[in-house]
Amino acid sequence: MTVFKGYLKILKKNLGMLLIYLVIFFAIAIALQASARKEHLGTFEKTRINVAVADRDQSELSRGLIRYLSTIHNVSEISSEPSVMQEELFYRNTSYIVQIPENFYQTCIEEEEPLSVTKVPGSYTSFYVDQQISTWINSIRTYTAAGFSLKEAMDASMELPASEVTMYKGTENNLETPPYIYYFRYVPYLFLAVLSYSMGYVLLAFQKEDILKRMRASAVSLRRQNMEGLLAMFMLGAVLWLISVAGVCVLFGKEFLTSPLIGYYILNTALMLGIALSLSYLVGIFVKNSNMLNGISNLLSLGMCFLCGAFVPMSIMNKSVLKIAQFLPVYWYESINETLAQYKTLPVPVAEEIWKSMGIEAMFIAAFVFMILAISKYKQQG
Amino acid sequence: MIHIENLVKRYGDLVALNHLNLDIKEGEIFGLLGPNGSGKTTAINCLLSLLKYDKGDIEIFGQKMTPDNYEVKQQIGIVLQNVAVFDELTVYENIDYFCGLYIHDKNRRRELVEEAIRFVGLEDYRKTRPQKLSGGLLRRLNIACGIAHKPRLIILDEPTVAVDPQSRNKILEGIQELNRQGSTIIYTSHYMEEVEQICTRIAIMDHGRVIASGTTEELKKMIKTGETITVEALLLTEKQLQDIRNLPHVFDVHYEDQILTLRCTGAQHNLIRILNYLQSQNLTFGRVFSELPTLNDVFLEITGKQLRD
Amino acid sequence: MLHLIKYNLLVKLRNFNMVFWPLVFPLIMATFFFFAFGNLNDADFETVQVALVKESANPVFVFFLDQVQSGDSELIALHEMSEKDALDALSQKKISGIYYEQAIPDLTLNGQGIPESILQSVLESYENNLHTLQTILKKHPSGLLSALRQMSDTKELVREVSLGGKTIDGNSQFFYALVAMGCLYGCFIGFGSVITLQANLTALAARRCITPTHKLKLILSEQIASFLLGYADVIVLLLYLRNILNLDFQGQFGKMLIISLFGSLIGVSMGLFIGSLSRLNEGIKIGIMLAISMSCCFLSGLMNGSMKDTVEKHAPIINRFNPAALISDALYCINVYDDASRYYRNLITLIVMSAALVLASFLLIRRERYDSI
Repeated sequence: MTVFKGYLKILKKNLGMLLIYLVIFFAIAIALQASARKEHLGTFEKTRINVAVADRDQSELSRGLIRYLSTIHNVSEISSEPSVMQEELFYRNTSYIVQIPENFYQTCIEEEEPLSVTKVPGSYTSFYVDQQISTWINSIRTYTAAGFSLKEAMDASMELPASEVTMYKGTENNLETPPYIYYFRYVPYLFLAVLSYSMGYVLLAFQKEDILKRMRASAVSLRRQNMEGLLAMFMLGAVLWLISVAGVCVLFGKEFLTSPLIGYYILNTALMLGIALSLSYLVGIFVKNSNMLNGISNLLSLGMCFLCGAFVPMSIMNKSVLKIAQFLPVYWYESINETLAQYKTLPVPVAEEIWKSMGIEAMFIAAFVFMILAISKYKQQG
Repeated sequence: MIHIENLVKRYGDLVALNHLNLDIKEGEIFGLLGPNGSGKTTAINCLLSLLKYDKGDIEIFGQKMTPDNYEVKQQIGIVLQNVAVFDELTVYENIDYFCGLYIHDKNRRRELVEEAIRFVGLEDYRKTRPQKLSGGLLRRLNIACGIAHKPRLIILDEPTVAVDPQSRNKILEGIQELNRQGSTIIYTSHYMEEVEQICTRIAIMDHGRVIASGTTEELKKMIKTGETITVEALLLTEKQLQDIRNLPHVFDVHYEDQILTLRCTGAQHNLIRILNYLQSQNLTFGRVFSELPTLNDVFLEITGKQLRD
Repeated sequence: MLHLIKYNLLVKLRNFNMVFWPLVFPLIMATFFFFAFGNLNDADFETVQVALVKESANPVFVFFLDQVQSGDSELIALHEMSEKDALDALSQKKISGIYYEQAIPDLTLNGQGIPESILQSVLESYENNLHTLQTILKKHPSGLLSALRQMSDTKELVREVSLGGKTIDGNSQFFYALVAMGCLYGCFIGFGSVITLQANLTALAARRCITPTHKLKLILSEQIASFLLGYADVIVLLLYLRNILNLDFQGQFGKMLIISLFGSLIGVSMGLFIGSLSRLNEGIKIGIMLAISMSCCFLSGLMNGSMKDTVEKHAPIINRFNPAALISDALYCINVYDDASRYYRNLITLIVMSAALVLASFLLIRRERYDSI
């Protein structure tokens, strides 16, 4: 077990570095999931946001729009000075600015020009405000086309009915997205980042030509050396996994522990860990220096996670991109995660799908391990 | 020219330099000899102000040596034990780079670089990169980088480790030539033959101190051994061994595996005396060696250890 | 000095790994981003599967749904079925919702995602239009036809603009954050170059330190060479984003060059500074560098757009000093806001910070004597 012990010694020596990575990426994951929870797309509670109106028209019509918006959001009026508007947006005093032009009626109602708005970048809730304004303008246009006076049109437009929606009270489904779902969404990034950087660095130390030669000439078979190396890294990964599971228990406590699907979640993360471990090890024996390691690790962690829906939710990603992403292991993790989020207990066909996806994750692991063994054999002979 | 007084350097509990005192005069080829771990490289590093030391004074060219004493540094060239060149630059570019850190005039530098290349015999390798050079050629490059600017003082730290005999000779000749051209040389090594061959004055170090210094002759006179005689394939009785021990000028006898080793003080006819005795006993024997004392003997007697481990 | 810079550059350029990865990595990430977000705004939604259950006749509602179904965007696909079948399908998520055809239509959903929002919006749209028409019938029945004509002639009613008048893409900020990351990535170049000056690490460094060339010159030349390399990488990235991917980088290129100049400078200087901390082992130094650059990028919104807002609300001072935030914000100013004063403020902060880092590195390395070599 000398190779194993050797790896452990090196890991111990670099403990500081490992801790830094762990803390940083863990903190990032936690912050991300906290903010993702707030930004929850698709919620029906139309949240009140801060809307600012720069009214250059100051007419009855513009007042009407402001009145309407005030029933749904927190509306403030600001000057139409560009610098003022910029400040408001920049400091996030408002998430949405409506610029009402002079001759509002003529421009928007008669000539049917769209209304200019500016939003805080990346905010999904502002999408709803677009809808609300569009609806209002549309009804004004319709009413005036039908012959209503402006005042009549505005009054009528104020009374827009809310719709009746019933939620299906099935016992199987989750009506509310469980909060810990976001935590699990970022877990792949955590695993991949920490493992690929730290393992890569340790494995680089073993890449020194002379050490390699010495190891190849030793009495321990290559396969066994690799296995021992994998075992050492496996211990590292296991610690990481335990920490992440502890993290979700601490953050979400009872809610998570009493979920009937807890087994699936945990199994999914365990599989993800296996993927991250084997992939990182593969990268580690493949890279030749730290510049290459940085580039590839970043690509793997950041890039793959982006493409597979860890940062941008899968539901709003480009579908053709997602199809290609199926070749990437993180895709399967995320799709299992998203599915689990929708259910309290799994109907059989859904459960089957999940097992299939987990099988694919396992296959990735096997493929990576196989490649590891093959590459080191190749290196030995080459 | 160089004055080191009471230099002390500790690594935790280990004392690497133990009140080292050293004086080196201009124009010498000064050899620093000692086994591995005696503190040679540590002393050099302290001398160059690369290493912090705990106590002591170091003066070079009459000035106190500090890391930013650039005037002194301008006149020093070093060739370290580990090859210190850029892998990405060719032979010419490497020498040009380092020379450029000392000499700013482009034209003069070009001359010096050319001269350096000729000096070490790397004309055929100007555009080659270090990875493609053999060990010996690499060492030559290492040297060229250190001496191209014709410094007043050249320090070489074990420059011939792992070098083939041909390159080694060239290096030793080169060092002597540099000395002839006016540079003072400090040469550290644990190969005594080299040191004996080229150094004008030698200091022997052990455990961080100078234990003996002087010219080769002076050193050899310090010890008792004048001659070492070895006789192989010899069968002796106890009595005969005792007789040999009692021979005049013999002070040490060692007999093992049919090999007799005698150490005698410097006197004439030691060899004839012993051969006469053997003949008188009608003994047959194999090869016979008679050697003059080496620096190894000096070291051995002073420390009780071998120089080369 | 020129001699030093020339050779430093030569050494770096001939080192494949030092050139390739810092250049290529941001380009690949940009391409990934492009594919991940590229069509985000062209809401590429899958057609929503919905069941239609007949409770009582409401032809207007059905007509409306048909219109939506056969519209250009193929928003929904209707399936007529019995209530029992519909509920089954809903529980198995084969459909996203059930429309009940009755006098006042109802919608039953099983989840809270985009498909469900779409179904709800469609229903709301129907009810709004209905209400409108009913109001018209009540008050100005003669205008009904014109009203209908108006309703069927829907256009883009709201248009997003930048405050300077240029249209913006809500995802540009990810790319600005990516440029910031590209600038900060230069820290690896700076780090690598200062290691070659630490005499306790390599014989080569020892030889360089023993020369009469002033330490400051050695450091500066390394920094300039690293910076030139890093800056070149960022310029390539900018050109790629602007001209090949055709993203929102159409603002003044000159200003972008300036901001990325100082952005690169800070990245390289940071690497230089951390590399100079000789008391730490190499692994830890790399860890620190990664931690700092990743956190900076993260806090400026690389992974999640709203991170910067959160920071702005709770700890705005971080945004004033986070180099990644300064860079991406400045890019925003150039391409979107046209806010010159904020641009200059960011620029000056960047300049001051880089100068401070270089000075600090010099102070750390210049008179170094080591405890052990």
